[in-house]
Amino acid sequence: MGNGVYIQAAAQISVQNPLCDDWLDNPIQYQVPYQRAIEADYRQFLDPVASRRMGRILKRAIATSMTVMASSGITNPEAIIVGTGLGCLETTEKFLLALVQEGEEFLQPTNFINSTHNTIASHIAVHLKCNAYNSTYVHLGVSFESALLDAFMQFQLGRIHSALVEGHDEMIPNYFYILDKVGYWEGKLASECAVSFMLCDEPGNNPMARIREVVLLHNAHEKRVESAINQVCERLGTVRKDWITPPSVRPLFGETFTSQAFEMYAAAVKMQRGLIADNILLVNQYRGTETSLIFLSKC
Amino acid sequence: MKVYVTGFGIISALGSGAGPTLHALVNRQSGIGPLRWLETMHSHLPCAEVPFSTRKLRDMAGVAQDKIITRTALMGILALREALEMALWNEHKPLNPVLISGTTVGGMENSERFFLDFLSPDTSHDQYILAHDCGVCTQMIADHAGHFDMLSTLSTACSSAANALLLAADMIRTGRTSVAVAGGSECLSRFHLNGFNTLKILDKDPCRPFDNTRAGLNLGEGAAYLVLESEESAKARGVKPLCLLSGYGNACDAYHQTASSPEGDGAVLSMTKALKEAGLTPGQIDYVNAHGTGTTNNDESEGKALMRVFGADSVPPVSSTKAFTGHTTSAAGSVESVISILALLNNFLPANLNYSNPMEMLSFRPVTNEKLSRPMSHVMTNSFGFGGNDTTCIFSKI
Repeated sequence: MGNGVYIQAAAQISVQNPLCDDWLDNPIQYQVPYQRAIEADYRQFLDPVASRRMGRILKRAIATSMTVMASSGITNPEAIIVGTGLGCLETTEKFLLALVQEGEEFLQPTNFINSTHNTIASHIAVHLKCNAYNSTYVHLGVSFESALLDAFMQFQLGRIHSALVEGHDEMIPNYFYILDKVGYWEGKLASECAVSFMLCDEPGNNPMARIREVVLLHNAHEKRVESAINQVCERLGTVRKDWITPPSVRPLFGETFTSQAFEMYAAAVKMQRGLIADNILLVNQYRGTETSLIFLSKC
Repeated sequence: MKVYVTGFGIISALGSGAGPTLHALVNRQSGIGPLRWLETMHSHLPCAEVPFSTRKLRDMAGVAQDKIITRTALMGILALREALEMALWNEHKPLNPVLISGTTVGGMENSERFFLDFLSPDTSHDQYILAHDCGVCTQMIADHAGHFDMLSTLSTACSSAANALLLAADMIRTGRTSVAVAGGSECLSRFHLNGFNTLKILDKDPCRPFDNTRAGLNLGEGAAYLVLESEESAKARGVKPLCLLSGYGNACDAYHQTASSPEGDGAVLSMTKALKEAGLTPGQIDYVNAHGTGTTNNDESEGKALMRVFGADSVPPVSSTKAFTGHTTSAAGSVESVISILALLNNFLPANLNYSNPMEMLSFRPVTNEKLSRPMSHVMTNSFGFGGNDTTCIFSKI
């Protein structure tokens, strides 16, 4: 790994105003249990015919990807890696509902084709005609961090110089209801996530932040998490108290399987503007079983 | 840094375990036949089901009949257990091991049964709601087997398990762990049987990969896991490395969501990357276990890609073993990696069953001859998924 891994650009579509950082000065507050994302104007990214054929989650992915490509000037990323908890939920549900309500006789292929989790990463690749490394992670609340870890290692092994790394999840009314039935939301705002990052092995002209390390842990108790943090601190030539964990932005962006992408996005935006400490540790503890650590530093 | 294979486990229509799998491969016994367990109106379609009921799989895996679990997880547990035993896991426990698993169907087998109940005030099947997730499937497999320090779940459709191997190998190469187990598991579901059926790519007869009369694939189910390990760890644990995962490559065809490019561009890239990473020339590959689904599109595209990578006149022995196991979708990458390793270690070429008519556009014919025994040093296996997620792995003798 040459100089490190840098976030050169980031973009989001969420319950806050899309493809901008209005949320920083004028956050929208919600008093509802479930809110879908505010859609961007997709006409600047997709022609109407293509747009009609794509579900919302795919349109958002194209829009956030194209935005970070434009702002970084990197038009041919050497990897496309997506994390998504539930993938293209809307099309999956369409096929599933048709199957269980109407039976096996008259099903249509389109919804099946777009139901696999990797539809998002492959749609981006087809759209960009990008033959590069392409992968998709679906590991619950650390799906995004799994994608980030893969990208980080591709850089470390010197295989790539740039990567689109993304977190995408949509939430449909029926699935909100189903998860609500089993108490999944715990009173948090259920929402949707589309975040793209352009990572690069050099800082470029206007880097947002540098990614120092990514760690995932399973069934880790408090002591194990602390020891993993300390190991990284030591390896980076720092001590534990150098690393600050900022307040979560989930109250603003909502809860999705890939909300940690919002946390990294918000930390990077604030870091670029000097609104946050120089060394940030993002910790995600998902339902007591999966833990992720992301170490970010100012460039 | 070298990445060794120190254990592997497999379950498929050929049976549970490497022994029955090898026996079926050598004796040309296909696992494809009429459906026994999956309830569907498409029961005329031949499939390759794992030959045990879910109840029986619970007994075999030692999982209580009332515990919430999926068939996918049960198959995963059995394949993982065999892999760990082979790698002397319990005798010499590795430090901070990792499990990376590939699946796409996840808990769909229950969701497709209970979805309308989920949507109603009826709560009697709500315990299956969280089990829908692909990641929960990995947790079920991992937690039954014992302690894993990190888990992740890959889903690149039919190359999921192959890409799980890639992530696991990279975790060793970057020094994040010294032992990483990877593979995939997938049971048949009405959801994806019907999905493939709407695409009109399921053959009503046993599939005929690379045959001019091929008319589609047969779905299968199964699971396989490989224990990947650094040399240092294998030495310290006193376990004998079986072979090397010497190279691997991932590329995207970036052509179409369900069709491969006519000339197999993504496949050429994934094979070329794998060869480069292994430091091998095409001429050094002794056998290619093709993705070879038996669809018109795949076999033509992959066949042309093989000719481009190896040269039209020097394509090594190639076979698709999907006429044995069916297409085990997300598990195919690890199922066929284990089959390739069995071929490598036992010096035999698995046959391409049901082949008789050459394809006009291909310069080579798949392996069909009766004399299948030959010394082998390097074997390659291809796994391609919807969305053009193409991945190639190369295994080498030590």
